[in-house]
Amino acid sequence: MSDNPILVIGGGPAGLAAAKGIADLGRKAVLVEKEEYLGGTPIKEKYAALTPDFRDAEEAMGEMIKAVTDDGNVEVITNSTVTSVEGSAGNMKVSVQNGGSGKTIDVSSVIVSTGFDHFDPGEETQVYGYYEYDDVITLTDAEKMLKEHKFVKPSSGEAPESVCFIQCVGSRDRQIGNQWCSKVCCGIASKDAMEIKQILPDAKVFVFYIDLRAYGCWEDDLYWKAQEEYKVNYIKGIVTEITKQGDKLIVKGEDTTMGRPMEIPMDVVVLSTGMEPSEGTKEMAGVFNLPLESHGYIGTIGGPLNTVETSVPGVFVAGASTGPADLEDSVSMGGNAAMKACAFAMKN
Amino acid sequence: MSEHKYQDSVQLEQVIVDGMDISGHWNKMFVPRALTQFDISGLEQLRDIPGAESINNCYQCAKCVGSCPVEYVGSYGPRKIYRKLQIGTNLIEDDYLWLCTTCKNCVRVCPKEVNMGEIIPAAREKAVLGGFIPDEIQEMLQSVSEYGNPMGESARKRAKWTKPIKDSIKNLAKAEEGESVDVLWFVGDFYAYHGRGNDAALAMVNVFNRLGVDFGILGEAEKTDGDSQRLVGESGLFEDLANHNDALFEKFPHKDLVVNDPHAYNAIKKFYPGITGNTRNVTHYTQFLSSRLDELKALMTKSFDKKVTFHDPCYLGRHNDEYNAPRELINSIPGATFIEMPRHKEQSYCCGGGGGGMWLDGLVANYTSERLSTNRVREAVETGAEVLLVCCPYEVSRFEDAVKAVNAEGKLEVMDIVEVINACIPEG
Amino acid sequence: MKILVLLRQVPDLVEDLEVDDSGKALDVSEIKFKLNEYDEHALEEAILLKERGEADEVVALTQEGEGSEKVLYTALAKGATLAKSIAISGEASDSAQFAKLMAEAAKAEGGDMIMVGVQSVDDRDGQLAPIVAASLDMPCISAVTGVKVSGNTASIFKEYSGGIMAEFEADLPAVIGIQAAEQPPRYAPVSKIKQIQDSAEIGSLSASSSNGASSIEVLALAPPPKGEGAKMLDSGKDLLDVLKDLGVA
Repeated sequence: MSDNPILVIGGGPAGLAAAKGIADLGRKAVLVEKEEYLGGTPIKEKYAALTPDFRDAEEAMGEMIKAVTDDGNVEVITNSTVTSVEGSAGNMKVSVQNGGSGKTIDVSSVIVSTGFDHFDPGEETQVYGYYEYDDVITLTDAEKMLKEHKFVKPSSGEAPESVCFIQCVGSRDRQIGNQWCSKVCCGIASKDAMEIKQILPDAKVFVFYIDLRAYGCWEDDLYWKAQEEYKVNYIKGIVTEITKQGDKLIVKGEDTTMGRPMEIPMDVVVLSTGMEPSEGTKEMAGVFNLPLESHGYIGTIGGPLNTVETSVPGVFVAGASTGPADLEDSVSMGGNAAMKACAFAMKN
Repeated sequence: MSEHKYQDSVQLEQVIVDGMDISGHWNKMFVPRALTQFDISGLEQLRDIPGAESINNCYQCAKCVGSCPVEYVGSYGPRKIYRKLQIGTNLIEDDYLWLCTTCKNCVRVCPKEVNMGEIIPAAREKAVLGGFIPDEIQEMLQSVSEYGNPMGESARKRAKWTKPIKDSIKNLAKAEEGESVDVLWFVGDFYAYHGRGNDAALAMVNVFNRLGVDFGILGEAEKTDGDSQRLVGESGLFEDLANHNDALFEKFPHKDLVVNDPHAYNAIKKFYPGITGNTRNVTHYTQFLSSRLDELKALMTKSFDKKVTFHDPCYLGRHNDEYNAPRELINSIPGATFIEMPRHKEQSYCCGGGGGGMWLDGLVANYTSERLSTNRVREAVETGAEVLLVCCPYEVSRFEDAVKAVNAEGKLEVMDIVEVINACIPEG
Repeated sequence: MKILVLLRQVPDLVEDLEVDDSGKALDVSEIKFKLNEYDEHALEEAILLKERGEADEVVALTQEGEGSEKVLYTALAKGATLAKSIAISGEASDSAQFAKLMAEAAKAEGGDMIMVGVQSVDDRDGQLAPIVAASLDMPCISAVTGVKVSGNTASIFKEYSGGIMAEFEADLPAVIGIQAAEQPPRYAPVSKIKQIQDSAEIGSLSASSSNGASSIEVLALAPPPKGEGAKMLDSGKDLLDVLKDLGVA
């Protein structure tokens, strides 16, 4: 049995849940975070409200962070990255780099929870003009505005009359190389659409989709609610390209249930950009020699029945570093990984 | 219909340009197909009408389209209505509003509870108030408000059908208030005025008499039940009719109020109470007769050696959940072999007469390849049945026309269940 | 621009008409009255003119009596701006006398155009428009199917037998006998009529019968004699037999 602490890499929802879980099980945890703050993507990207429960992101994540930082069993090291590892199961020596200085920590096991990056729509094979047109924005751009309780045309600062979301940007695309569904964008777009309607009740809001994937209870908590209570219009058929005409954006594509082409003017277009393995995730895979699964996320060994164990003994993963994950997935995996990492430390 | 406007080409019948005749296909032009705006004002207007809110909930699964009887002979269904509302159609002013027969088959399958049974009458009420009424419906409404029946027949001749009855019949139109009967029989328009309805009405009288039922009719005082008027959006007229008829029900004490028209059953059971505050013990005649099945069986000693099938009326079946009473009667017909049509009970195909469809054949024909009744009769013929049994007075005339349309004359007969029952009771 | 529309209640032919004991008149106790169909067209045309902005006021007028309120409330529900019933003292014993009474009422009300139905079941001669016009010294055009008004003149369209269309111009005031409005008469929903009944008031006019006795005397009124009736044939062969008997086949 090793008394060394358990290393958690990445302080987002999965890592916070893991660190708190380890502490609750009576063991020491070291939480290493690249940024100077904890909270992960919801904080970094300035999310307004969490999906699906509309809780204020800063407040909700703040509670999670406080639970970790207040716990004497957790040592938090921010502004730091893990650069190398030596030794093997039960007794690993991990190098942690903080700016110019570095130190080595002996750990009993490791949880990698380094999350995802949002797809950069500049890479899109489709022509959405994200870097050309001010009024083409991403979900995260929308979140930033909504956090300020406003939603405007970036080009003019005026309230838009029409807003549309384009789903599956950077997801489900063999040509781009991202063949996965990013799982959360349909729900988040629906949530953002509702928040826009709360601010601008008269705005016409549309969501263009290929398949609407509001899985589980997001179906009625988000999708139905947006349509029925907030009068958001869902149009089946994806947008192929965007052009500009005067101060309007023209979204072109097919309205598939009408079987007709469409060229619709919009004031603001929100690209529902999907998830990709983050840089940190790729780096940690290299540091710990973790095999990637076919999509480029960190692979696990148990298929659907063991979602956190890697093929390297003593190294576990949680959250979106293993594939597209929502908050429920991430924190559940964080807890699961904590339990398994503790068990590993006790056995080795 | 706007679909045509967008999707078809336009050609002017007669055009002469610079002395050159370019009439017809020479000037054919295609209208741009691209949607250039989602004008959702029609959707906003409709969902704001009380009763029509649920139109907004459609998520395009298209279950309704697969169940819509009009779709089988045209292009229709709530899903398609919803989409039209998003691209500029104002349903209130569109022919599309009038194709729905309110058969409720879509309501049965809709996962989002988009209730066309409520949306359509609410929207039509708005259309009627705005003056957007098809000519055929206007004529029908005019007749009902003038004469109390949609045929425009004299109200005074409503009991004329009773003339061939040898024994007298208790006509309460001339009776004093308080005159009581066991059964108050609400005869209905088609039984009273339509030739084939008269046949069924006379059969009904004989069946009542042979069962020893003490019954009375309202005769000239009765007016149409109003359900079809309600469903085409004339709620004011419906209210008047409900109050008029219910006052008669009140005037003549009775144990059972028997109706032969499922639309009357629907109106009196579900919609009169909201207007009059009175609940009546209304039963459809198939329910009344099946409650006396043992006595009836004893009377039905003549054999009816035919293969029969049965059409479930929308307003008895889907609207009021009664599938068994008519089947109990049919299964008691001595000698008859009962074959169900593929689409029966909850899945029954609509005859096209409900929701005002009875008076919309002209308009509906512009959007359909054949009448719904024709489609239905073809199904009946395919079962190999010799008799198509019905228990809604609208259907005898509709289906008899359809039998001619599919050249099944002599092969398929259309009969009201009560006519067959009566035919099985020997004189005596 | 003010249009007066004269509305008449006429026997409803849905009911069987009975001749009274005198043998010279209909048994009115057995008659159901309804608004004359052509008058509905006259009202429709007037309301269309108002809706097109070519007329400002449409005043519906009818003889006071049983059913007159219903006629007038319905006219208001359809879009008439004002409705008045005409109390007639004495009795109009022929259509000419009736027309003169109507003219008297119309004159009292005052208007730029008087519209009436071209004829009615009890006035197949179409006397009302010409006699009203003559009494008021106005031009009269009858059997009209369309009207346009511009300033003080009206363009009037009528259709002659054989499908010939004619357009007239008339100085106003004028009397127009409408054969058909440009669209079928509209329907007045019951709820709208009820709403009008609660909110609108019906005005009144009067006209007195001072024309003396009618110069026309009804000698007899009777339904046409019954024929021998038709014979229904069951088959083509029966038809052939009949034709053979008649010596034509």
